[in-house]
Order: sequence, then C-alpha cells, then structure tokens
Amino acid sequence: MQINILSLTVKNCGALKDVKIEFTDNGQPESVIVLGGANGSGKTTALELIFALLALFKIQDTRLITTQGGLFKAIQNILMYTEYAELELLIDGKKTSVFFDNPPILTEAISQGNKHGIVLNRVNHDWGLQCSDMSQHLYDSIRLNEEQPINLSSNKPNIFPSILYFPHHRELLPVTGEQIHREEVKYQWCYRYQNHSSFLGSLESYLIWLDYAEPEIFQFVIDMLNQLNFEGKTFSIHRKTLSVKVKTRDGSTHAFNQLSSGEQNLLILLLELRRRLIPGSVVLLDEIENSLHPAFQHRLAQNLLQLQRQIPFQLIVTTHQPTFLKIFGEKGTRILTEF
Amino acid sequence: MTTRIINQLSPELTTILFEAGNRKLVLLEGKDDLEVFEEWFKEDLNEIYFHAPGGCSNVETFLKETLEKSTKGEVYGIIDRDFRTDEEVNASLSDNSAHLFILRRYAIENYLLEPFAVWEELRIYPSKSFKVFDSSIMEKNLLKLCEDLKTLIAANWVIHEASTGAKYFQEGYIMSDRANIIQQSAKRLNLDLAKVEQKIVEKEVIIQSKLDRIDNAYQVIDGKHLLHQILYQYTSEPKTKIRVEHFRRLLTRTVKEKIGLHTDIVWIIKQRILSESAKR
Repeated sequence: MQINILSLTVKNCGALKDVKIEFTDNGQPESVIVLGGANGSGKTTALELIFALLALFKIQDTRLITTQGGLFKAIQNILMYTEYAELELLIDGKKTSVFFDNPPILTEAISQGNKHGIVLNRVNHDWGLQCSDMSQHLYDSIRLNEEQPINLSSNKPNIFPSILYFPHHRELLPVTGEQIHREEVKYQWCYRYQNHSSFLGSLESYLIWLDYAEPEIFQFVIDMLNQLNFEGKTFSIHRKTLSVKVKTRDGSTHAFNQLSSGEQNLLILLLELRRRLIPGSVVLLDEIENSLHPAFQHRLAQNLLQLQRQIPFQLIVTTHQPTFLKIFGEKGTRILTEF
Repeated sequence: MTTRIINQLSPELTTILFEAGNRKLVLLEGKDDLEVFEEWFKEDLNEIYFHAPGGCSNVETFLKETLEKSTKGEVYGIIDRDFRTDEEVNASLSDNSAHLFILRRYAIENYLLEPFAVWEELRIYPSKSFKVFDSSIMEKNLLKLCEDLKTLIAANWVIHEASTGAKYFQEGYIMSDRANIIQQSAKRLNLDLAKVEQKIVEKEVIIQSKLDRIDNAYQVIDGKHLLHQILYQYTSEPKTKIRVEHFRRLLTRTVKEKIGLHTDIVWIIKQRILSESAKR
C-alpha cells in the first residue's frame, strides 16, 4: 500500500487561519515537500495536524473510545484547538480525505462518502463519526499490524505503511550505555519519535544485541550504516570487547562514541528512520537541520534521497535552512509566510 | 475571507520568500546596490530583506509579478534614476501607494560620492600625491570632474533615447576627447555625424545647467563613471574591479558613519517602506 498526501486544509489552528497547502505538482503528489517560512508561520502546526488527522483512522466507534478513557486521549491535542482541518490523500491511487470539524461548519463533509472524520459539537457534546470507503480497510489493517514486530528483512517486508513523525524536540537516543538491552521495534500506524527516559540501553547496545540475537536484521542495519557515506567510515561489532568499532578511510579504528556529535545525530536519526520505514509511508521531519552544520545538512539530505530511492516514501520537512531548498529543489517547497 | 492557497511558486520567488520570511521585501537593481543597502540598513535587516534580481527591468517585472501574488503587498522596488525626468522621480516618491521608488540621484554611487566622504577616504588612500586641503575644495574638484564627463554622459543619454540597443560608453572611456565621443556615438547609432552632434549638444546644455552644485549635478552625472574617474585622478593603483569595489565599500561605511545617509534614502526606507508596518 502507498499513502501520499495531496493537500492540507486548515481553518483556525494557530497561525494557520484559513489556508490550503498543496502538496502536488500538476495533480501528482510531490515525493519531497519542504515547508518554509518565518517563525510562527505554522510549519510545525501543519506537521502536527497531518499526524493528528491520520491518527483519526484508528477511530471507528466514538462510543467505544469514549468508554475506554475519553475521546480526548484518542484525538491528538492539536485538533481540540482547531476549527476545521482536512487532509486530502491518495491511497493506492484512490483519493480520500480525513477531516476534523469543530464545531461542524462543513455539513457537506458528512454527506460525502470518500471522507473519514470526526465532527464535534461542543455545545451539546455531540460527537459524530463519518466513515469513508477506505475507513474500514485502513482500520482493519491498522489493528492487524499494530504492535507487531517490524520485519526489516527484505524478503518478508511489512506491506502496510505508517506515518513516522520526528518532532523538533527530539532528544536522541544515547550512543553509549552501561548495559546491552533488547529493543524490539514494533509497528505503529502513527509513530511519534521520542526518547523514553526508561530506556536503559544505547544505540551501541542495540547494534551489539542485534549482532547476537538477530543476525539477519543486524546485517541489514549494518549494511545501511556502511552505505551512509560517512567519509568512508565503516561499522562493525567487536565481540570480545562488546563494542562497536568504526573504521576510517585511512584504516585506523576508533570507538563508536568517538564519532562527532553531528555524526551521532545523523546516524541515530537515519537508523531510527530506517528501522521503522515501510515502503509507501509518510515521513514528517520537523526542523530537519536541528543543530547540524551545513556539511551535515547536505549529508542528511543526500542520505534521505538515497533512502527514498531504495524504499519509496513521501517526505515532508520543515526548515529555515536554504541548504535543503537547494538539495530538495524549489518545486516542492511551500512558503507558509503570508507575503 | 477567502482561503489562502499555498502552492508551487516560481523557483526564484520561492528562494526569495524562503529567505525573506516575514520581512518586507525590497528589490534592488544589482549586487552593488545590495551591498550598499545591507550595510546602510543592517540594523533593520530583521524587518527588511533586500534582494537584487539583476537589472532595472527585472526589478519592475519581478515587483509586478510578486505584487500580483501577494496578499500583504509588502514588496517594494528601488531603481536608479538613470535618465528619467524630475516628474517621473517625484511621482514615484510622492505617491503614497507606490511600491516602486526611483532614486532622485542618477544611481546609488551618487549617494556614496559625497565630497566629504571622498576627501576623507582619499586622504588615507594610496595616492599619487593628494593635495586637496578640505572637503569644500573636493566638492569643486568633483564638480569639475562632472563637467569633464559631460560629453560622455550626454552621448550615453542620446544612445539611451535612441533605444536601438547600441552600446553605451563604459566607465573609464577617455572623456576628454569630445570629437571622438561624438564620432563614436554616430558610428554606434549608425546616424549622421552632424545630427548626433546636435543631439549631444542639446543634452550637454541640460547637463551644464545642473552643474551648479553637487546635489543637482549628481542627478545627471552617472556615479559609476565618476567613481572611476576619481580613482583614476587621485590614486596610483590600477583601476581593477576589485579596487573599485573596495573603494566603494570604504565610501559606503564613511557616508553612514561620518556624514549620515542622504534624506532621499532615509525617506524611502524609513518613511515609505518601514513605517508602512506601523500604519497597519
């Protein structure tokens, strides 16, 4: 399955007062969208809304969710401050929409069969659910895959895509750790990256654990790391010392934690993305430059494009850095600042 | 309220708006103008974004296109006066709804060549033997240089009005040989020598009438030519592009720090462009 975002329509959500952001070129979805604009122009809001709207496909019965702890938990917080938001999608070539209407202003939305969404009338606390032709299929697939281990091996790939969101406030996984811990990657329809304070391992321990426990996946991951073009650096496990060794182009080796902070940042982001990425997914990356030097910005962008050639996905990023405009191109760039 | 559609823009406009953010966009003719304005208004760069699409016609075209797409209308253009009339200049500066401003002086260089600034810089510049004792003498010397450039400027004016695409006389062209300038003009315009001479004389008369004081002279004398002639007359260094740019930078800073910006410039930027936001 392949999901692409075609447009986002918003009424009254933060800086986005009444806008429609087009993600297409001549009707076809752009593979990379760069959202640019001044601080406060609504770039992060747009990503949050995309994520929140897609999460609505997990709702099939408002009564059931209400009894399970309240609709507020099931609906992302940002929607509660939004008057209307609608995401137009292309799923396997078929157009569909998901919307949130609060209070109901677009009554025609309810009558259209290709829209899935929630209508909230705050006056009488009346929640309405509109299901589309796609709703049941997506809901069943999400339920079937949710919490199942993600299969990274190329001969048995997961076929149901997901939405991967890397927010701006992303504390990265520690590179070093005291213990080697097992960390299983499980499928989530809408995955928001966050570093859990309870996480006892490290990126290094994850690689060592993979080497022992999941050799097939380990090889897959290590091949990916070695293809990242870190100035010719290659990665391997030194079993005797239970450590990851980095071999430089001139043949010398150093410890994993001696990589520069920029390299670590880049590695963790790409590894986190790679180990969760299923073909046909949508990846949202807020402030892609996040403390990276322009040289590393280039490297990250090139690696993302390379990854996209291997595994098709739609990439939507926000940035203030012209570097990404140059690499990803002006064609897919949308300026949110009103001028 | 209609829904604002955010979609694909032209590559150039995308790049400019990406950089501009929520700052006011001011389009300038060239890289030289950009450097000057960014230096003069560096304290305002949080509110204003200067961009040079290259050339006067590009400024006008780009401004028109951008304004058509703009909802806030905070896009402006500043172009050289060149050979425009007082009426055209005054209209652009006095129209409250104007987005395109024409400099009152010939070009941005004419605002750099303030006699005191030129004198101040030449005093410490590697010179042949600089013997100008104060800025009032410098002013007289500059007016004399303007007079020396009169025929060359008049010839360029005639070429401009002919609109045949004929080549202009470039900076550094020998200005003292009047007969040669007239002859070359006739050749470039492919016109009768006497006819061309008559046209040049007409322009020379207009230029001469403006040479009573610097402020008037600088409306008709091209500052780029004058800058080149100043370096030629007063310095012993080769007149390479790098030297000219270096001297221009020195003047840019001196004008701002020791004299203060000309009221024309302050009026356009501070009163007409930046104060617009206060009115909203």
